[in-house]
Amino acid sequence: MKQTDQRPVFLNLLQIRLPLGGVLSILHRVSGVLLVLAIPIFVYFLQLLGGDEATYAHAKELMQTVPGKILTSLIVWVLIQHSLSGIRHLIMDLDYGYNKQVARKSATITFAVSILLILISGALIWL
Amino acid sequence: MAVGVSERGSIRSGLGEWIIQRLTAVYLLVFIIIALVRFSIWPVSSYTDWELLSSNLFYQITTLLFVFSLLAHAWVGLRSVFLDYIKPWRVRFLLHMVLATLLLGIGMWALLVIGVK
Repeated sequence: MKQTDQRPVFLNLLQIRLPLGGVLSILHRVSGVLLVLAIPIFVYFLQLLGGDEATYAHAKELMQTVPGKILTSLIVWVLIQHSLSGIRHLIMDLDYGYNKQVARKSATITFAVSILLILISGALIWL
Repeated sequence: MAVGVSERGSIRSGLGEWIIQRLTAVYLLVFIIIALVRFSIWPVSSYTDWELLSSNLFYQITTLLFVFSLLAHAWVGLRSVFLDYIKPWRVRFLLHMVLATLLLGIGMWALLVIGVK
């Protein structure tokens, strides 16, 4: 036990340089926590849509306002990021891509695809 | 970390949580993809469209399953975040109970919103 206590501990967050896979991993966690907050928003939106004609119109109106669009894009972007790193996790759970080179490449691909999908979804929401 | 019921917060291995996390992840992904395809082919453009869709039993069951998968997925995910960062187990236990109550509450709300028409 004493020996384990003497192991060096280095947790300076400003100096730790994570590999891309590590960045992806912590983003998966952060985006996951953020997405929990989107669950009640989602249910509330369904409640408005399913209410009556007035609440349905109100929900559609909310989606067209700037704050509504900002909130929608944030949720969609975080969801895209979380889903893609999640798919990478699922593939790795099937025992593929554990090789260091492959893992780094798949992390790069994940970021590339998520940036692409974020741009596309942004264009669909804002243009 | 030392082994012991009180310090680990749980005497179970967590394999069940691991499986739930993956199964719900797959359902959530499939649901989102099918929903995206469905709404691109047949957009909901009026209240009547929406009323028709949301009173469909298949829609209600699959959407409720989606929300409950979300809640289970969120439960396992946040639980592991708490297990990693909240070391005093009494505080963590309290947080788990608050989280469980909130998630179950959202589940009841979704049941009323989606299931009761």
